[in-house]
Amino acid sequence: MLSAAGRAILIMSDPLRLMFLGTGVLIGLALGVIPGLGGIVGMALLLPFTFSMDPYAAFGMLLGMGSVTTTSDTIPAVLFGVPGTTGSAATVLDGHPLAKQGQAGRALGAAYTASLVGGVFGALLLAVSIPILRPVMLHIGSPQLLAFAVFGLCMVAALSAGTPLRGLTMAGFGILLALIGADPQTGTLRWTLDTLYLWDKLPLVPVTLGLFAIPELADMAIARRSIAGGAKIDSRAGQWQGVKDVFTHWWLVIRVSWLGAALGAIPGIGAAVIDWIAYGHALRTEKGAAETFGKGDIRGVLASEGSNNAKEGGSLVPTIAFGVPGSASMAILLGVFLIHGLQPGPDMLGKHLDVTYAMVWSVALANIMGAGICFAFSNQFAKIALIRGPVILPLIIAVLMIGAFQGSHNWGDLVTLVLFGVLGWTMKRLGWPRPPLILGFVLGKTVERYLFISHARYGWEWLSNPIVLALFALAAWGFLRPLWRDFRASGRISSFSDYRSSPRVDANTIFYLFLIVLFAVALFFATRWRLNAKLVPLIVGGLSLFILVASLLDFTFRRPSDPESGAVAQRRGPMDLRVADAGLDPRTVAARAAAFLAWLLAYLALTGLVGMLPATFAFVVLYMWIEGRERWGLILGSAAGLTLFCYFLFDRVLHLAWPRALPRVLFPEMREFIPSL
Amino acid sequence: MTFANQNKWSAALAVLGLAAIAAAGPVAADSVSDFYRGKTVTIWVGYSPGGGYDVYARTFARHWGKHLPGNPEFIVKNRTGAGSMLVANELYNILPKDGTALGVIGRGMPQEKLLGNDQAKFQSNKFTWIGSANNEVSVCVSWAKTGITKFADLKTRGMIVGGTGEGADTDTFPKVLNNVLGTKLKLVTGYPGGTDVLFAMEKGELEGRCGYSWSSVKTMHSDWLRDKTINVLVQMSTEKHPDIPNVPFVMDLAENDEQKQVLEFIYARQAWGRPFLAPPGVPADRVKALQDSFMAVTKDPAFLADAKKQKLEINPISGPRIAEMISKMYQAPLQVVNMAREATNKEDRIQISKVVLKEMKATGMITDVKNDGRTVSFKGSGTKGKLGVSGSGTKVTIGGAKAKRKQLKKGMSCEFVYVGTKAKSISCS
Repeated sequence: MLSAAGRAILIMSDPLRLMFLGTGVLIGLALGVIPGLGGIVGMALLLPFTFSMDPYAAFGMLLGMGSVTTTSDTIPAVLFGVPGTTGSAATVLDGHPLAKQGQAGRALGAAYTASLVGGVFGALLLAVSIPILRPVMLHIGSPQLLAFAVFGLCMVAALSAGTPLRGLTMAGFGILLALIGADPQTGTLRWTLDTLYLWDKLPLVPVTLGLFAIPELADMAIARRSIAGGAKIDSRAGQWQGVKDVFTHWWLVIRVSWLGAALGAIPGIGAAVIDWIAYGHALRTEKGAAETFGKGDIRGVLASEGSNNAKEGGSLVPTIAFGVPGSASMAILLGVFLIHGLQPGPDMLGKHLDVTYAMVWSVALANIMGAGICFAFSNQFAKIALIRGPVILPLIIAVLMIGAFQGSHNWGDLVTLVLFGVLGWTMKRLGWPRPPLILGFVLGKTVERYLFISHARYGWEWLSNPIVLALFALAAWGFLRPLWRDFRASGRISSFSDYRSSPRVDANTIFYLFLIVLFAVALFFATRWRLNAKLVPLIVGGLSLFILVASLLDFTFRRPSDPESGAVAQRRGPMDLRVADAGLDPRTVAARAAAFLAWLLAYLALTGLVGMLPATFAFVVLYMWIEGRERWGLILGSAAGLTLFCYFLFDRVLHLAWPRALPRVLFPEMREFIPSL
Repeated sequence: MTFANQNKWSAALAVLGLAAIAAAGPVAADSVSDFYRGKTVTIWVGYSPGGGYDVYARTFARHWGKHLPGNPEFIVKNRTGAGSMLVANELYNILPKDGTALGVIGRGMPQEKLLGNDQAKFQSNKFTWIGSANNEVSVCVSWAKTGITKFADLKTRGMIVGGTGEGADTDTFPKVLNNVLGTKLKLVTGYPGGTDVLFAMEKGELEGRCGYSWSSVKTMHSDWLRDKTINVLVQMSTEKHPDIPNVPFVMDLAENDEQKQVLEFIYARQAWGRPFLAPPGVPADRVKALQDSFMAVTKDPAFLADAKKQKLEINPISGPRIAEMISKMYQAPLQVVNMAREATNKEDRIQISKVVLKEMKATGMITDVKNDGRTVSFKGSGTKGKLGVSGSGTKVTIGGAKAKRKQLKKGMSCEFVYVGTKAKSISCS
């Protein structure tokens, strides 16, 4: 085994192979920065170029690309609050506040270093565990996969930000959203609203971007300032500080990298929740985290970034050992196996062990290169935080829209983005935690899927499996302890004397009622489905509705010293419940928020009328002029530059689809003249 | 107007200019080549990048341009939704009908409407069929350790198979075999993908998979074939695969004409296994050029080398042939369509119960012995059967003394203990 590992190092140190690896890394970094684009697009694009390479170079280039998208996705997450890939949503929570405090350099430096350490340690964990991979994985059947998903789901308690009832409700909401689409058991079309768009399922990209990115951008528009406000920016010195932060919290970074690698190996967990699970882990285990996380605590960035780079090494495990791709980009990687006549399975851990090790080293090397390149170039990035809001905002919004459209290349993606943007912003303002929703959304389907499979195959026997029991026990511990603490801290168990007689009614009440109606309507439709299709929706929906009503009663009749009410959550509650624009009166905030929403809708309308590229140009021009009265040179330059960039990248290079616009439907010949129709 | 658009404007003007020159010229030069010159043909794939359909589309796109008059650029765009029904609907209703938009959709799509899906907004016999890259043969396999070795075992012992969700081949084919041929497959469905089903089979959670493309077996798991880790039980398509002449062919297993017609209706989709199509109403000369160039691509050595490199099976079927098969499908008797609908129906008519086989005991006389005692038929009071006799797994005694299976002879009176079709012990007097 050691000789194979050594041989693989020699093989990979060939300059030509290193060059291919480096090319992959550069492309991966570029794809990671742009929200909505990730490893999958790049892999499909690069795959044909690997046909003439040897397997080492081919894997090197593709893995190099796939491994570093999670290094550079930090850049937009920290600077704009826009996660570059779905794996860096948790980075936003602490990374973006740091940028707002003028510490963008520190956040980036810490994130790159944590990415590097996470990526390399994830690969090393894989390297040493290769001999035991197959026997261990053969014990991970459907009941165990179910238990893992439940374990992940129970992280919601830690991520509920001191508002347990709301956290649980949102987790339930997330699960219900995950169940939209054709049900695998009966083929029932659940909550598809008669659209083909919702048939497969709600795509993750626009949901994540809507929940986490739009609220940040909206708040930036409301505050009417640059990202860093008046704060000074710490580009070079800050990056160095960030590197030192990693070594100060060394043990945390190691823990989350192992967590990331291990969870990455479990099919069905998914990149989009690994960062949250690691974040939740840090929140529970780090000293004082409950008070400071979400307000710009560097440890939050480290937890998220260390874990999401480690997962790439982990997700190689099922692919190499069994030919089961853990993610869509791994499915493309399987194509490379085919092309080079390699069979995933025992051969890869025996006869072709050197190829396997070459893959492991590729991941490790790519992480080193990726972090290095980011360090070299991002000295200037941090200064973006100083650019005036009206200049930078329309550019980000445009890229965000096009990025969200990559969810499934459907108009529905844009609608989803805006709807979840409104939901995310409302939740952020009113003190509702968003991470539980994403956790439920990503894991809900997995839980239902493996619940049915386990029951169909084993009856209830599977419940007595020791691995399942152990995972359930861990899940229960992870679930009940934070809940118990939150309840006790809020004094809920003490007495009823805290409850007052005059009910409290405000914006939150409206949101509660909206959710109650939404749940009730959804449940009403669900009752008409066949048993296997409605079982999980009814149980989850019913429980959520029950908790929701309890939470509403609690909110309405409790004295305001209560953490479940928005105002206090802002002071005490950690994470994403803090709102930045103190000093603005609510009416101004509401007016500016409405204006922001109107801009988004105007952009959509323009896209429908004239096609996305012309709409992008017009949107940038209008926004910069109306909101900022910028110089015309700057306006036209930015608008033309961005439009051209999008045209070349999305249309000419990546050949991605554009939203169908009205003229295209009415006059098909028009598409000859306007590329994006 | 952006710079990008200006570019397009001028390009478009140039094309218009060229077209004007061509039209004015004395020779009405090849109108197809004039049309396609400088254009981009988009192949819309109803699946995400990297999947089987997508890989076929991208491989064709790399070589198609040089075979179509005018040498347009071919690009692939992915638009996922409803198992490619979204692309099928768009091709039929929205996408340009001038021959610059092609599509690749799931092989089951052409039957969706006939099988009663209202969301299918197209008549598949009105599409312009360009060709299919492969005639796909699908197989049922069993994990060898289960002891399921042949198709007949599926009728007696049964098999636990995995599915990837209602409507997928992995779910439809077991239902069809159960409903039409009377097998006892137990379907456990909901796995995220075909590879997850195989993984579950390897872990012992499942016993087999029905609805597994033969080309995929060969490319992804030739080691399983080599090491006899799996048994191939039956092949399902319109024609047998030349690789596996000894594996039973589903059409041969039909016991009457009706069953055969239903099977033919359902498995017709295998013939157009990787379908390329265009919207209805594309001008006839362009249709012909597209169909001809499609077949030309499949004979291009560079394309074949590219496909071989990716282990893609290429057994092309021409567009006109697909159109013919589909119009025949539309003429199928209502009764056949209804039975096919029943057989693939969402309502699972099959009793899904746990397949647990009890140990059976019978006494009788041996009526036939084959292969040196490997197979023994017997007839007793009210029972008869055919059992597999294992050299190591079956205890054979004659007159109380231990014996070899080849000593079993026709006419002996014996007591048989068996599970399914496997003999546990045979004690003869």
